[in-house]
Amino acid sequence: MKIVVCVKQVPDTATKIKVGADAKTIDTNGVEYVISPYDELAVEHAVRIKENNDDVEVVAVSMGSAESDKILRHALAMGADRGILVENDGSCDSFVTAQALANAIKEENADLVLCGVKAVDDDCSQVGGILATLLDVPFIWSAAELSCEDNKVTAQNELAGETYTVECELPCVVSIQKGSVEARINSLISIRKARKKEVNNVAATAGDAVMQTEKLELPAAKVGGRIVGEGPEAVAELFKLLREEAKVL
Amino acid sequence: MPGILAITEVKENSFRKASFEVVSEAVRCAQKLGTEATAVVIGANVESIAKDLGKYGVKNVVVVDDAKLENAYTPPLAEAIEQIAKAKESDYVFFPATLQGKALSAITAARFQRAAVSDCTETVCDGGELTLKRPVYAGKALETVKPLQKPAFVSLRPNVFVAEEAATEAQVEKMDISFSDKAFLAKITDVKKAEEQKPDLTEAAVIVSGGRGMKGPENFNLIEDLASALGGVNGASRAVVDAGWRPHNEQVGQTGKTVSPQLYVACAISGAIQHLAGMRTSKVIVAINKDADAPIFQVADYGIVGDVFEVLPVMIEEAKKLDS
Repeated sequence: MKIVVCVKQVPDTATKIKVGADAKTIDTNGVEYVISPYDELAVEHAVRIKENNDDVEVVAVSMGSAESDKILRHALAMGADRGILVENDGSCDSFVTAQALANAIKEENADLVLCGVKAVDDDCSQVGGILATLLDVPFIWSAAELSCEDNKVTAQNELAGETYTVECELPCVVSIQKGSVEARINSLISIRKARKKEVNNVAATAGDAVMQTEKLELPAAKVGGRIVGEGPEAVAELFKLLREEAKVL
Repeated sequence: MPGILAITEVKENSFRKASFEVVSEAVRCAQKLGTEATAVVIGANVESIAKDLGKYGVKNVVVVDDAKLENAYTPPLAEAIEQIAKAKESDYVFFPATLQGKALSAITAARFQRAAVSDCTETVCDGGELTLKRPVYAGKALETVKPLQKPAFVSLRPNVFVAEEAATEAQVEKMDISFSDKAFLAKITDVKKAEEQKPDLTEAAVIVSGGRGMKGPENFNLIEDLASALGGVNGASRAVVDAGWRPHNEQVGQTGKTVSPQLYVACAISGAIQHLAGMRTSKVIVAINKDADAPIFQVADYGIVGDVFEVLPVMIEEAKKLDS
């Protein structure tokens, strides 16, 4: 069985975002990049399936600049067997990204494709669904729990206090949400081993953009915020303001 | 006539609230673009509720009512929307940006070789076209996006757009859809209900969140009590979830849920950048914190400087009075 996991490099979530000179992308000066946390969970799920089953190969795929080699190595250190870097400089929309990933993944004949529910930079939540459609396989979204046995995946997804169980035969694409599984911490030995694993660089093949970014700006700073008072004595005034001024009660 | 389709989400024979917001915004955009909005209702036994959407000003409703859709997963819905959008030659298809709506918009858009613009918080009509504003980096920045081809697919963040009442007599049109067998490959095999029905954080109108300053999981009854007295749900900061005090599905922030309630009450949360990112689009933010310099006060509309263990019990009492 072959599992492909899609991973994306994103600015560390502690990054203070600054807008770049083009007013369309971020200023990347001093930005630390990491594997998107949900993608990291997807790698963890893939590696666990590999550990619990015989003959599973895990392939990590990333689309990005040469710098994305770092997060592929991270996935390899977690236990993925090899990596594919779909080379592309600059940003592109979700459809173009999914198309390039799909073209690379088709060659692999994967049984299961995993990705994070969203990348924590553009927050699009699009690539998994598009990928599934382009690969012509079912898409299971936002799985908090995932198991894979006898050529079948079972996913659990919590929504508004209800837990849904979804079952599907392979092949399929599953996007991963936070659940009980936590990503492992890489040891120095696993990081060293990952350096020797194979990463193939391939050129991105995709069509034209389907949308364009016109502008990137910072949200307006809050004005008019105020301290109502100190301690429990301020509560009555707070509720008065919420009722009469903010009108939310 | 090429217009806007507003996709609704039905659960147990009633519309999820975000559906009304999407219908209402589609009506407003259609007016500005000089075209018409059509609401879409897809499910099993949904015909009876379709007419109710007229309450939000929509004149046309397309209904796909098919027993096959009882407990069906997402793919048949995408097939139905594809066929409706083609039949109506729609220019835009709006979805609620719920988890299901975002997934559905992705697989539907891909059938047209497009991507959907996800989780938009503002629509701008410009020269007969729509551009969309959406938060990125969980709200640390705001992006303006223009779809380059039609139909364009857009999902709208719950709680942001007003569901405006404008009673209209809606014409209901039934459509039969031919579903592929493939659409039923993934199946919902079980639905477990929580004992207490609570809206998802992303759709809740009121959220009360607790941070590390709550000192331990045993004190979260204060958060739960205030949330329930205000008719809302409770959330948590990442520190609290990482510490194992609260379940991960309550986490608000960049690696948790991005929320936009009418009222967000942050209790003993200092306001790490990744928490602020996830809640700053809330309409009204109240912060209670011991430290007057805590970053949370920079995004708060109203703050109380004080000890949560003294302030929260009084707030709970005050909130309980609201009902009576």
